[in-house]
Amino acid sequence: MSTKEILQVSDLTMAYGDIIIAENINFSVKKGEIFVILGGSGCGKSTLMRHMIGLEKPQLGDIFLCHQSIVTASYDERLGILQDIGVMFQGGALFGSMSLLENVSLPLEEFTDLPNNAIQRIATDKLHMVGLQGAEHLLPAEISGGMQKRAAIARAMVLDPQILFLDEPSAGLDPITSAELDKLIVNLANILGITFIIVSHELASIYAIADRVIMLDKAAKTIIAEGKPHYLRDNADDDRVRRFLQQGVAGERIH
Amino acid sequence: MEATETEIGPDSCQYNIIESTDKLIKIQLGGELSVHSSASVWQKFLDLQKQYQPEQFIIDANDIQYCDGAGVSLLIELREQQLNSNKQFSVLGLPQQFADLYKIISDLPTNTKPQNREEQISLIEEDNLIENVGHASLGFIDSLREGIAFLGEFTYQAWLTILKPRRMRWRDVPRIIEEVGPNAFPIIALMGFLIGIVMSFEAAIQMENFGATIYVPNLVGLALTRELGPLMAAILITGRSGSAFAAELGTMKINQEVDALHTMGLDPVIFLAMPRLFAVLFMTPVLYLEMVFFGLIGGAVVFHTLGYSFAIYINQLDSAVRMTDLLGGLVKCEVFGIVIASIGCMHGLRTRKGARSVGLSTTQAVVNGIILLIVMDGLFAIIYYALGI
Ligand SMILES: Nc1ncnc2c1ncn2[C@@H]1O[C@H](COP(=O)(O)OP(=O)(O)OP(=O)(O)O)[C@@H](O)[C@H]1O
Ligand SMILES: [Mg+2]
Repeated sequence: MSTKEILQVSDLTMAYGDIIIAENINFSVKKGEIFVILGGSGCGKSTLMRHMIGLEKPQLGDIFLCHQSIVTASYDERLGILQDIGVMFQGGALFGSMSLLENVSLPLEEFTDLPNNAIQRIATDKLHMVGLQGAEHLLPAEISGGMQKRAAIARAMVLDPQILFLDEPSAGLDPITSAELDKLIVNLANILGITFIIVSHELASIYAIADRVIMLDKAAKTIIAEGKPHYLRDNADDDRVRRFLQQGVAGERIH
Repeated sequence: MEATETEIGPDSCQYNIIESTDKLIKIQLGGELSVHSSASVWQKFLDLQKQYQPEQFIIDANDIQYCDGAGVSLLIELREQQLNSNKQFSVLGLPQQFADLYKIISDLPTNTKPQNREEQISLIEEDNLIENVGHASLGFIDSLREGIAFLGEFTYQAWLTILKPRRMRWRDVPRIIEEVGPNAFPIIALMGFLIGIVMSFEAAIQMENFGATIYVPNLVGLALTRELGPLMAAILITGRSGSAFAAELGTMKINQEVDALHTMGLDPVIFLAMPRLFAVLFMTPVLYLEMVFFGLIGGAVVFHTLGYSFAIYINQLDSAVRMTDLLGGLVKCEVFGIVIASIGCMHGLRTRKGARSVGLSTTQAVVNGIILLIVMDGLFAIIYYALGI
């Protein structure tokens, strides 16, 4: 494993009970890369993400984050690894009893010794970065689904983690907000060197930001393609991959 | 045999059974075969099919003016029934646009795989009926054991939190205290008062036979401080707050908020359950004392109607209820508080998927909570007896 590889998944088999969701999953992600996981609905993208962040135990195989296995990590090692990652869940998973600002401040309060005004400042800035000016004091139930997603992204990145996991960040966003989010992701990757692992269906966004993609398939129960999205669109061996990626040709965003 | 039926209306289906024997059923359809109008013929056709089990089933659709997805589904249902028993089925003269729809729906990959929920769910969960029955019967013991195990973990975490208070978010505690406590004041007062009245009244009737009504305060005082006060207060808090904890935490679980805590490296037991525990530990003694207070007032009212003065009431209480009785009650309350908070939070955090399971968790939190409270109360009776309290 080269030192540039910040995440490595090796020979992973994912299962719920006896039901295997996918097997023989191998890939690695370099620092600063924007890595996108594709695949049809129900093929196990969210499940893969849950494995990578240590919420599910692999049936087989191992996962390394920043060169440490999250599978065999002790409780304390695990806490160390978790400090380096941020996660946005598919549904947002904001804390319902807290305002957006409190949601975003929470990790700062729990894991830093910053004074209160610094915490407010940082949290507000993050909310502004995702375009949520003026909604700081609203509760999650009082804002739209797209706004919840963006607030969840703000919360995920508030500790400036090395790896950000985003499960369908732009699903449900309008094209303009989605493009702004893409710009933010690219900037964070380029300027701060944050690595992104993104589950996405939005082809326009994938072509705009992804350095590399993998595609999972429900029937094959494994990765059926890996590479740059433009290349795979025209050259993938597997017809399913080309078809998936070509659906978006018309909608491709122009930069 | 021939039958004709015609319904006239903007949205009606006319049919005409040309022939119905075990060789052939032929039905002429006309008008509109829509999601509304097909209701009147759906069962009739299927019954007819079942009755004759014809070699061939023919639908003459030349006069159909309109046919929607539901109409097509009827045709497909008939066809499937025929084909399944190796018989024949044909639709004649269905107008082109509806024939296209028929083709689209009948070309959908048919569901040869699991047809019912049990089989479909078995593909995503290793669950089966026998297991479920087994689980249900062992469920009670299991959940009691699990409850006690969680209770242990919970008490340990609480101990660590007392040693190192910074582990926990204390700022959540006041909000929870408010929900557990003040909102329960009126009902506790009412219940205490009524229990006091009922108990002393019943006691007075019996004691009158022996001319011992003077001892009514002794009975009321002891029963309230030692037994009924802690238990009734605890049961009430279980119903009000144990259930609320289970519902809140269960909702957080299904919204992935608990997962989010895990990935932030925050332990849900410390982050969510501990504040609730300390809120309950703070409030149970208060509610207990309130219940005792109002119970004694109820007793005093009855005692007064028996012709005794208030001073005698106090005097009798003073001679009967010792400080240890009150302390014993308070200790019970704190233990009951741990039970309530841990069972509520445990069931909340154990919630699986879907809104229904939140309801289930809530019910279980209340039922198992109350059972465990009563078991604990029994243990206390033994322990206090042994200690001579
Ligand atoms: N808790 C669970 N228990 C059992 N099976 C599960 C569970 N969660 C998901 N599954 C199964 O795992 C498979 C993959 O689910 P997953 O949520 O990972 O899909 P996905 O690729 O993220 O889909 P989508 O694009 O719709 O979000 C599904 O077939 C689902 O039935
Ligand atoms: Mg998903």
